[in-house]
Amino acid sequence: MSESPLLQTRLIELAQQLTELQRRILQALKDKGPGLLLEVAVRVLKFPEDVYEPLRELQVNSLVETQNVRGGQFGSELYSLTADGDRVVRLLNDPAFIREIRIAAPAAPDPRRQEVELLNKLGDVAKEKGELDKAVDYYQQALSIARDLGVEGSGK
Amino acid sequence: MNLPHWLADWLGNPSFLLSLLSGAVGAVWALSEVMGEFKTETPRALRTAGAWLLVAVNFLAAAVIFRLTVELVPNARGWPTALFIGFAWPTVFRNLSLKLTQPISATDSEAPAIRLEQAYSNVQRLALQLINSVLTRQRMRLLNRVMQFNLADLERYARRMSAISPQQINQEFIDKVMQRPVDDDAKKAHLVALLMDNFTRDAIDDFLKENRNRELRS
Repeated sequence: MSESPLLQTRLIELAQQLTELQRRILQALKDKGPGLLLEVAVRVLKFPEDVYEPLRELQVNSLVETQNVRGGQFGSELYSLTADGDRVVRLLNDPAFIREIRIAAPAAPDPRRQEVELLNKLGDVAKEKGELDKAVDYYQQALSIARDLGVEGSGK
Repeated sequence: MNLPHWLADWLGNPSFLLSLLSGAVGAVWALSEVMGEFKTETPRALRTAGAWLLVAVNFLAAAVIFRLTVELVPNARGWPTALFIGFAWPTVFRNLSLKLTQPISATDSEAPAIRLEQAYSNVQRLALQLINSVLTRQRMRLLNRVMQFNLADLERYARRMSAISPQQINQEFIDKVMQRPVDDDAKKAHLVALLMDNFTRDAIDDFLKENRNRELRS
């Protein structure tokens, strides 16, 4: 059956908005079939409390559905992919689609660069307060991280 | 061996045998659906009523469509048609919508229709629910049995499986499970889920066999 363009657009948008964990959950459901909360969590090497909310969001977006079962320790709802969820997984496995997402979303800033900036600012504050030893310490830390980043950058 | 009269008649009827051929191809499609959905759990899934419901529906549908075809087009009676209908059942016939009325208004898309795709999707959903429910109960029973064993034995087994298998479990995850501030039963449940997920339920069966004499007294 051919998909309506509207549905296709909605699925593309959903796929773009998914977090890394949600993508891994969808892929795990596709690869290993339906699972209870604990099973789904273990498949992505997380704990139930880590995957509960992401799963709820997937359910709200109709990518995942549940079936009530008596699961005891494993949970009481069996999670499985919906037809839309299956389509989204196929999209996520399409290299062209992934390339498109990466171009659309610029890479997140490197936290270590932010750390360098913050250390420099702390150094400035310490200098203004007349605590020169402390300031030198902050600047040296910033310098050390900046050098590491430089080495990694030139090694690429 | 003497076959009953009616059975001998049926088996001597080429149309009946061709219907079986068509139905068998339809059944293979159903088996492939079960395999695609349940992967390593396929052998267990095939031992459930849900799986056989799916196989039976596909078998009967393909066989009945073949019978209808040869009744309408007698010249079509032959193994190529039987095979074709068996193969075409999931791709062509199952996606048919038979409109019962054609409304004059072009905007009225809610005309009564027999949507085979929807009907099949309902059967498929029911079958999957039946299979999932059985498989889940089986896993629960297995977990309950493992609860009778020592956590340390289970941890050792999980680490050993991880070490000797090319399909290695992340040892760090086992560490995290063991360090969690939860009771032993919760830790066991995590380890069992981890083992089942990576090495199938057979790994738990092996653990139970290996530790037969180490069961805790409840």
